[in-house]
Amino acid sequence: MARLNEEGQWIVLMGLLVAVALFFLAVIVNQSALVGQTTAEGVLEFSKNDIRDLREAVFDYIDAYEKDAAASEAIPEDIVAISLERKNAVVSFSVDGPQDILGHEMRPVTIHYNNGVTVYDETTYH
Amino acid sequence: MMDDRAVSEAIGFILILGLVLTGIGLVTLYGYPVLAKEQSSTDMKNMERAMIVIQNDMKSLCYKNVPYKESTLQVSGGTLEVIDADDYGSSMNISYNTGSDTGYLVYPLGALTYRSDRSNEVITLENGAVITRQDGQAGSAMLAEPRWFYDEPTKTFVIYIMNVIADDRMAKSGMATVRMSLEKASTRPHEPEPPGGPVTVTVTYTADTKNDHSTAWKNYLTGPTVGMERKGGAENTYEISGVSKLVIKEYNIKILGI
Repeated sequence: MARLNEEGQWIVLMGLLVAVALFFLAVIVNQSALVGQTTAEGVLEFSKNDIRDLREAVFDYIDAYEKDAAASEAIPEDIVAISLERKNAVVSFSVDGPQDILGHEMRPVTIHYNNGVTVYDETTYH
Repeated sequence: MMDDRAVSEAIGFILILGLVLTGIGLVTLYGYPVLAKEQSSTDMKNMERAMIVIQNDMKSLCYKNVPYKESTLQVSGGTLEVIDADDYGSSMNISYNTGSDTGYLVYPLGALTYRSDRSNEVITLENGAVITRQDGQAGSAMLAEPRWFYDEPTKTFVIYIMNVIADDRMAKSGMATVRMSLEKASTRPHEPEPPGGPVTVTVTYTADTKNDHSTAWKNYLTGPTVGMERKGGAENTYEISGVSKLVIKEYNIKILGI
């Protein structure tokens, strides 16, 4: 065994390092599948657009109410019923009489939204 | 120079062979059972995940107005079984009492059940919840919860019933494609008389004799999201009072094949 050329040993060493690195990468990839799913679910479950749609419907109702109060009387009931039927969300909102906010006539609006996962409460002026 | 007189090649060979055989023996005796156990727990973990994927598919059918869903999963180390509501003994009985108006509703539940061959763990998808239990033991735990809730400001109690129906009793191991469709969806808002008056809602969970999940349902129904209380004296019966609106959403999910 005398005087073998040992200069190529680093190749074997690098091979070992690459193997260890690959092992850790595999562990991370394995985890990422689960994490990705959880995150995607979280994003999908969050009812951002449902809440936006509800706010829009409420504000539209206020505009309609100011134009023709008698004709838009049944709208709140419809909003609540449709939210429950289509979006599985318990919704309630109330609109008070106009107030003077910095020179603008505005109505205080409270909106409550709950679909079992996300609860949203808002008090705003429209 | 070293003295080689006492060195025997045969003894060296026997020593090395002995070491190798001891190594093989140890691995066979102790290593293999550990590996098999590891395999079985990996199977269970995968199956728990797969059940939650199926639960998500059911959620899409029920909450997102999707008519049909299918997902492929690997059922290893056990059997996945679909049990129609008629063959499964479990049911949710819901009654309400407003003082002047009473009602009693019975919702039979179907189930998707995975039974492991190697361990005695059983994972069941029942009424939108993924529940695990050990065969022969009384306890059970919920891995993924359904979406029942009580909304305090509006005093609305929302109950979801997800019933599994199937034409035949089906079972599968290996690669399975669970195909399901939404058969029926109905919303039953119950406005009590007088309107807004407080209602007491009572929920009774009747367990299947071979697949008892009463502990899991007890923990869920008395937990913070639902907030029911145990009704004194009655087993597996929970009640909530002061409800002004009771909503029961019933979905029938048909498993077309696995």
